Amino acid sequence: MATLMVNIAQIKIARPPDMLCALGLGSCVGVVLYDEDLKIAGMLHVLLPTPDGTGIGGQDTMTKFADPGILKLQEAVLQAGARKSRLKAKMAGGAAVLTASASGSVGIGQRNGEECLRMLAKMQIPIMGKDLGGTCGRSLYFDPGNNILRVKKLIGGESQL
Amino acid sequence: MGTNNNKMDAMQQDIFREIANIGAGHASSALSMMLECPVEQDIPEVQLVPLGDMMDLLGGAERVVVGVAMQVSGDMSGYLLAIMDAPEAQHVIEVMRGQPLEKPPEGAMFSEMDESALKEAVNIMGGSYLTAICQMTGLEMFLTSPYASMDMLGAILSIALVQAGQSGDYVLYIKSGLFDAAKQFAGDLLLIPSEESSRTMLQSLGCM
Repeated sequence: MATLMVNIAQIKIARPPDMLCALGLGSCVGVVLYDEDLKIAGMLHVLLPTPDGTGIGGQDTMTKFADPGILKLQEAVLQAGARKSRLKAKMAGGAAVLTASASGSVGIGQRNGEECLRMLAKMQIPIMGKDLGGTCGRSLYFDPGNNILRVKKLIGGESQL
Repeated sequence: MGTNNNKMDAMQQDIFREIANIGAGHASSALSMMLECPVEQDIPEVQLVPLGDMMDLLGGAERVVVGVAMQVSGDMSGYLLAIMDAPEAQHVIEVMRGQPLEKPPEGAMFSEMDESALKEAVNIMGGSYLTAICQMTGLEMFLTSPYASMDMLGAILSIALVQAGQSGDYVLYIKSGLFDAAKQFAGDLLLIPSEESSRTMLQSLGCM
């Protein structure tokens, strides 16, 4: 069994017994798309909601954005063999860790979460579980064998989605 | 260096290292006065890395740390962060307040007064660091008041990565390790300038 680490702006695909894992998410959001029949899952580690339109570079890694990152994630799981009609989503993250902190990132966690929800709604993918917001960082572990997303927090312990 | 250029040349790296040396030199003097013991600094580390690689280079995204962050504004924008392990933060607080740690309220890392002492220590340290850089570069910069949290390193640093991610796929960080001889304190000061500001710094010193 391997644990695939999904770093910022990355997409990874896993099948049982492998696991998908994103560690130490603050304002970032981890989004999982999975096909429960075929047991194929993909995870995206979102850093920002959307490109800000200033066009200052950084367009190489479009997967750091919720939009279009989640489209890329869908492409990747479909390419791995998943069926579009069966795709479901789970997600967690989007906290405000250093609360009320510096203007540029006020509410960036919240905006990340909202943009992910908006994208998934637009793509008509049902959201089976979510744990967004708060002020505490999270680590995520997704098992494509049972489709459980484990969410670990420093304060408040562990929960399952 | 720039968005599409993920490399720093040796001279640019040296300049950032020198900036860090001078900043951290002043910060360590300030800390030394607060802790009432000599404080030294490691050789600064200057790295320009892909956004996703920064956590591993700083001890892993899940490393539990106490982070105090201040935003830099003025001629330069970015973040100045102090990252330390919990016992080290505790040591700073106890020396600053001259009394043992108070019992924190449920769910909090420190009592309000203890947290405030820690933020004050970092504020003074960060202020010395930045003032030294201002004098060296002739740039005018300000610090916001500090915010503190105990959490996973990844969660603490995401604030700076959000800034870096808005303009590029790489992040520049300038790290200075500070420690006292008795090894009761060790912590890192991280300066993470925005991409534009890293160029401003180089230009102010006649490079680029």
